[in-house]
Amino acid sequence: MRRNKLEIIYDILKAIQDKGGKIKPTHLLYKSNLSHKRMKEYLDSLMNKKLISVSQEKTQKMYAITEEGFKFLAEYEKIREFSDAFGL
Amino acid sequence: MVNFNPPLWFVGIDSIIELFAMIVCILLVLFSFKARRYTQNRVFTYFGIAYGLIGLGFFMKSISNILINTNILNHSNSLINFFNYGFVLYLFSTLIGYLILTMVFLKIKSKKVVALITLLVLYLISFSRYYLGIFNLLATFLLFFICLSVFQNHFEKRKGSSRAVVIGFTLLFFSHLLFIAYQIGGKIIYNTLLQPNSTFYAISESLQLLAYVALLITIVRVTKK
Repeated sequence: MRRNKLEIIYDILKAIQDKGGKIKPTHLLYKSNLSHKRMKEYLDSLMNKKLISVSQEKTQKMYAITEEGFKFLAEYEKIREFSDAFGL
Repeated sequence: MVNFNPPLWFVGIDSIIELFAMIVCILLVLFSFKARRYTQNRVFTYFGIAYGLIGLGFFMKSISNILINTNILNHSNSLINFFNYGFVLYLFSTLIGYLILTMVFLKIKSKKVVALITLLVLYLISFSRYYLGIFNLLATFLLFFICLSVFQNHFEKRKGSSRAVVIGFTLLFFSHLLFIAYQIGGKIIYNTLLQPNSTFYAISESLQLLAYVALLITIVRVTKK
C-alpha cells in the first residue's frame, strides 16, 4: 500500500529511534525504503522542522532524532491509536 | 411544550449526565483537531465537527433542563421558550452530528449522497408530528450503521480501545432504541404514539452515561500510550 507523506516521516523517525537515536544514511535509505533523491528531500524537510539533526562522526555522516522528533513520534503514535480505535 | 418527563428522583441527575457527555465530546473535539493538525487528514475535522455538534446539543439540553427544573423565572413564557428552543437545538445538532459521524465511518464521499441523506433527515425531523419518535428512530438508524462499522473495525484491529468504542456506540444505540420500543409498544397497545415515560427516560440516560464513560476510557487509553 502506498504510504502518505506523514507515514514516510513516521517511518524515517521510527527507524532512527529504533537504532538508538542515531543512524547512518545508508541504513536509513534501506530502512525507509525510498530512493536516494526522495530520502534527501525528506531529510532536508525534517532538518528544517528540527525533527532531526546531522553530525559528522569520523568520516561518517550520522542522522540523529531530536527532542522535537521524539515528541512528534509520541504524538503521532497516539493519533494512530485514536484512529485505529474508531476505524477512521 | 416538549413533554420530556424525568422521574422526580432523576431531576438534576440527567443534567449532570449531559454535562459529563458534553465534556467527553469536547475532549474528542480537541483530540480530533490535534490529529488534524499533525496529519492534515480531513476526516479528523469532520469527526471533530460531529462531536462539537453533539456536545452543543448536550449543553443546550442540560442548560434548558436545569432552568426548567430549578423554577428560575417561575416558568415564565420566556423560560418555556428557551426550554423548547434548547430542546429543538439538541435534536437538530445531535442528529446532524450522528449524520456526519455516519458519513465518516461509512466513508461516504459523494457530495450528492451526503446532500440527499442530510435533506431527508432534516425534512423528516422538521415536518413530522411525532418529532421525538422520529428523532430517536433516525438516531437509532444512523447509530446502527455506525455500530456495524465500529464492530468491523474491532474485528480487524482487536484492540482494547476499539472494544471500548464498540461498547460506547452499542450502548448509545440501545439508549435511543429504548424510546422507540416504548413508543411502538404504545402504538400497538393503545393505537397512539406515547411520549417516553419517566422510567424509560432514566434508563436511556443511564445507558448514555455508560456509553460516554466507554468513550472516555478510549480517550484515556489513547492519550496514556
